[in-house]
Amino acid sequence: MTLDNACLTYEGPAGERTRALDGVTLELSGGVTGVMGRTGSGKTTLLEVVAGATPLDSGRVRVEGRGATALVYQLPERQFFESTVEREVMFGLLARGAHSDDARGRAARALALMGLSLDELGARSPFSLSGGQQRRVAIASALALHPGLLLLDEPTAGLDPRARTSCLRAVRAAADAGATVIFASHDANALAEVADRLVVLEGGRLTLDGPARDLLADAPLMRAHGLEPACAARAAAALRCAGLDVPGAPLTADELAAAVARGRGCA
Amino acid sequence: MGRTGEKIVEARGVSHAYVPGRPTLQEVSLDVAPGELVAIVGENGSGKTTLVRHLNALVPLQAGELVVAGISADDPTHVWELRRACGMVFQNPENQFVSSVVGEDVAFGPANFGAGEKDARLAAARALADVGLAGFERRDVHTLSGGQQQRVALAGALASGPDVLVLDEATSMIDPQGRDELVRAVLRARSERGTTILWVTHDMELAARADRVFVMRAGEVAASGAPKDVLVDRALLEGAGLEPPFAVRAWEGLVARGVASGPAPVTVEGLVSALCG
Repeated sequence: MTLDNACLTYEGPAGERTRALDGVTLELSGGVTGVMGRTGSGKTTLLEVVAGATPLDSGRVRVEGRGATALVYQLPERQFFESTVEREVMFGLLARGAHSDDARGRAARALALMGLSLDELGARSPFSLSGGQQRRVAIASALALHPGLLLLDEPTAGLDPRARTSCLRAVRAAADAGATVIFASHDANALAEVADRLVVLEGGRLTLDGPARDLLADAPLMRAHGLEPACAARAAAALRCAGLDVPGAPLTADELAAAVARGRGCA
Repeated sequence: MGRTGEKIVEARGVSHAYVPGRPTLQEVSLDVAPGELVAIVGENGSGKTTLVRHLNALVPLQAGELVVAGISADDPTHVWELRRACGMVFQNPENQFVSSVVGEDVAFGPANFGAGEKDARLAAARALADVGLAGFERRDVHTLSGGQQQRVALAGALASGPDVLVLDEATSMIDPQGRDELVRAVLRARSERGTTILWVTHDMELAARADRVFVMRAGEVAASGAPKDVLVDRALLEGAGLEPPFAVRAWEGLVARGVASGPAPVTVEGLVSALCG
């Protein structure tokens, strides 16, 4: 996936113009790329442009490869239109010519990856599910396509820890199977678990781009860009401020504990 | 209708089934004291939302007893009073706006409950000031950030002067700065108005700041108590599909490495204090 000097301006209801993307250049090939930025920074617009759902004013977007491109919106209930969960998850497969038995099997496996059962939920209306179930059904609908490019907008928002873990594992598995994943999120802890690379958008401009681990562990840098650091990075920064030796760049609770132990010579 | 002793919410054996034979809530009993900040945690589908939607009659009482601010929920004619006694803020603020103009939206509640135009406007102005949005009356809600929109929704709930405020996953769709703004506004409403807060959340860092935590599991209250007692119980939390807050998990790692001992802190601030204090 290549974005070359992508520019897009929206016009609001009162005629005000908002630069949603301002000269974004980005080249991705495989792995999980986290996209962070405050509300209105251009994250969702970036996903829509890459998905081909929104045309650019100028610049170019190019997606290579034969796999499908799948976009999961932040509000999954806005992308449902089928009468049952089974039909919803199978829709994309059937539209691409899959045999119904094959489509049903892939739908069942994708739902299972998200911790849901086709047998239990298949006949339910997707609109009758809880918010967390809806989000997982939407992600399963994308995963069932075995996409080459998977675009996720806040996929962990509103998920409980178990569902969140399922979601992150499924994202990692998709990337390990060769998909290029773009994961837009405010959740630094989720990105710390799954992202290989991190880009940061501010006012439609790409202001940071680097290895996810290096950026997410740098609490002062994250704060300087208006972002919330991962809990471990926040705690490490606070402990250092209080005079404790916390070596390394911990990103999880266990890494923080190990770093504190090392700092006390107990490793 | 006065308050019942020191309880502003009393639930006794509340059960509910959307589909007959498949209960979403089973015999839930709980009490909340006036002015308390209570977190309700549990995995998706554990009954959290169904429980709190009983408080302002969005879900009708099928079985059990529920009294909110002295108003019994078992009488369908009390819907109006319950709606006034208990305000709700949902996950997506856009779903609860009734006007695109901030001042009109926030004044809708008091006007709907019978306030005159001037009083409704004053109540809206006070509520907007309380959530840090004084002067936003003429703004279009769609031009606001997600965090500002959620604070407009909060002001809309507060403007009617509810005794109880329910926030149902109200921070899950806004960015961290918006979340912090909302939390500050809610805490201010609690301290300045004495509003009782029931906060449904998956955010264990937020739950750690509550007075009490209720853990829901399969439609039942599996446990309740102070965060320092409930949020350190890994077996209990994992049984409910949850995990302890970050500070507790880090503390467990420190204990396992022999560099910490004693009760686990439940917040990052507590962790820093325990290690450096």
